[in-house]
Amino acid sequence: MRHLKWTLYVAGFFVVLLVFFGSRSTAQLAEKENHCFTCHTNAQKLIQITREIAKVDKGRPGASAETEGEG
Amino acid sequence: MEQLAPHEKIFVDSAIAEDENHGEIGCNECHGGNPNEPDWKKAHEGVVKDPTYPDPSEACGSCHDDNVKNSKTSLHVSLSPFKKMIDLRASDDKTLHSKVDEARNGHCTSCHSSCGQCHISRPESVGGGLLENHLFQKNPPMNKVCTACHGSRIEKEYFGKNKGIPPDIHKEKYFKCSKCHKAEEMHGDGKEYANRYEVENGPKCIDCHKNINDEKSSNAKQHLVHKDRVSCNVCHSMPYKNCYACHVGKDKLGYKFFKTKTSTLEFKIGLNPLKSKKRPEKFVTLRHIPVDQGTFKFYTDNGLANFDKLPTWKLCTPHNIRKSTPQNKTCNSCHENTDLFLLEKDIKQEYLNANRKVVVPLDMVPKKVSE
Repeated sequence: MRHLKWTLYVAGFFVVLLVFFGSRSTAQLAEKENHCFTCHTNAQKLIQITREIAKVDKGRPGASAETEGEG
Repeated sequence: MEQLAPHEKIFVDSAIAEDENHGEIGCNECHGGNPNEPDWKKAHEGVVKDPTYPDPSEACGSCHDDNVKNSKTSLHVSLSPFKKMIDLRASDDKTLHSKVDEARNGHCTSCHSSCGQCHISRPESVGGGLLENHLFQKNPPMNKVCTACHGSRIEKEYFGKNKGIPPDIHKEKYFKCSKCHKAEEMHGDGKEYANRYEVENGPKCIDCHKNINDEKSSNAKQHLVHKDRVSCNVCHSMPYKNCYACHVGKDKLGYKFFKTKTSTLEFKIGLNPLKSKKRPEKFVTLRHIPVDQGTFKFYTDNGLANFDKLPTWKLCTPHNIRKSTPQNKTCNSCHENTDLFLLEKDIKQEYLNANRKVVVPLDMVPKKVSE
């Protein structure tokens, strides 16, 4: 009986460890893997980056000014 | 169509993570790139903007095989009629023909669509930008997808944006494009068609107006007399857009441009250039298309040496259908009304030879009838 009790304590301890560190490492992993997601869901970041790009492209029109008439 | 700011074009709604199907797929599984790289420039190395074009089998096909298996034959993806028609007009000289190919690929063929450019983003040819922030759209929104490309003719006709011309009766009944143009038509059926009018699962008026030719239906006499002689559009379309002389080229900065000479609102009945079992009518509505002998002049002279092989007035089904039109008011609103018919005098001299087969000879214009 005493032996079983100890086994349960030890198993419980490992379960708690697994839940705690397991979820933490999943969260860390998600953070590590999701730079595309975190950036593309953040409007502020996107505004900052698209402004950076616009600065580089300054003076270059997006399309030809020679287009005329209906397409 | 409202324009999107640069950041709005690429903003993703975090709710996509809750999409029980697509939310489980990592961004990089479709788009490539490196999701672990914090520097956005490095992270984007190797990124594919539209992983569904030209071949969607990997990005979409593993789940949507039924919709994807024939997508290469979808006219929205292949644009094969462009190639076929331009090839027919192009010079037999191989060097000139290759110049025409270069021009066609650079200009005409860039207006394609794809799975992604209907269900996820606006088409690239109109500037792109995510629809609903990358939340997948089963039914593409017509104003941001369909009429974003089909703007000059279909949108203006359907919504009544041509001055003095009312909208299509189906628009007034709140029909979206997909009410007639079903997904099966859009996704292709595995057959290579020469033009959109051949597409077997394309819309036909009779699909909905099933009883129109019954003796007891309203206006049965007119429908029975004209059945298989004139197309539905001849009686039920309003004047529509015709464009002339498109020229393409590249400007000093290397950007592509096009210039069309004129656009007119006209209504012209001509001889059916695509007479078939499916379209047996003698008279159909014809639209002038913007092709010209000099369309590809920027790339090569005389590239379209066989220009006269095809008419520049082409079979059309204008999207401004009305029950009552000026030409169907009375029998003689149309009969012997030479203004409605495409006569030799209506054709520009330089396009005359190309259009011999569709011009209505004066003696073929239906005679007046006693009403």
